[in-house]
Amino acid sequence: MHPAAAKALFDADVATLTPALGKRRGWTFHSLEFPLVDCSYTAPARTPLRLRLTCGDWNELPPEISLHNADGTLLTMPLTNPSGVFNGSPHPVANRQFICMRGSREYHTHPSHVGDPWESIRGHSSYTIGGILTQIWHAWLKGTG
Amino acid sequence: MNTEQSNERSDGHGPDSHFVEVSISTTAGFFPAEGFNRVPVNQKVEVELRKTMEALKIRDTAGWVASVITPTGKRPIDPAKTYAENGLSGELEIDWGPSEGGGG
Repeated sequence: MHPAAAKALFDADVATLTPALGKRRGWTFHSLEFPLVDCSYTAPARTPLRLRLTCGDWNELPPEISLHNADGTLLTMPLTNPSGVFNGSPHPVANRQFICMRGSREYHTHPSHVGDPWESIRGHSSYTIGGILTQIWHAWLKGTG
Repeated sequence: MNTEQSNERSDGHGPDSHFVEVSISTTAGFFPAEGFNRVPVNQKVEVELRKTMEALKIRDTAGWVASVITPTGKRPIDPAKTYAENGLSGELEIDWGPSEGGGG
């Protein structure tokens, strides 16, 4: 993917991730500068979760997604969450806990899921950058911590 | 004396009870872009969702969920039902987007 093309697609995707949307959903955007989306989820009585989506080859490849504490340090303790989206075991390539969900690079490169290619969902409305953020957010909302 | 106005106030069925004010948020934008649309309380929620899809050029909403945002959190609503059937009234902030992803 040519970097200029990836940046153009990225910029178009994040243009609607506005402060107004953040206010309504409890999202805080720390960065929306190519290739990084750095976003915290917040909710009453919850510990914020910060995600970094690195979208260098958007959208030829899905974003690499890492989980962080509110201060930006890498999250080392597994999340307490009933959803299967947050996988607390180390990813065989990234060697850290990861988002086990269609739309994350860690999912599509995991040996258990290489048969479920990103190409089959790329460009779908649910797999824009905002769509991926929304899916993870819905999973996070099911937790309590 | 305005009898009609008096009756509306006493029985709680003033003109505004027949309508809700709706703003729908998605990661593709808001519908309407600013403010709220006034729609009948007995209209199905899916009508405004369809308008949102068209206005924001969202191609596919299979598996998307609609929720109403309240001060205490989000509550899922059924788009196939009316606002009244969903127990909604007044000014509504509806969030719409893909549900929790599969994987695991």
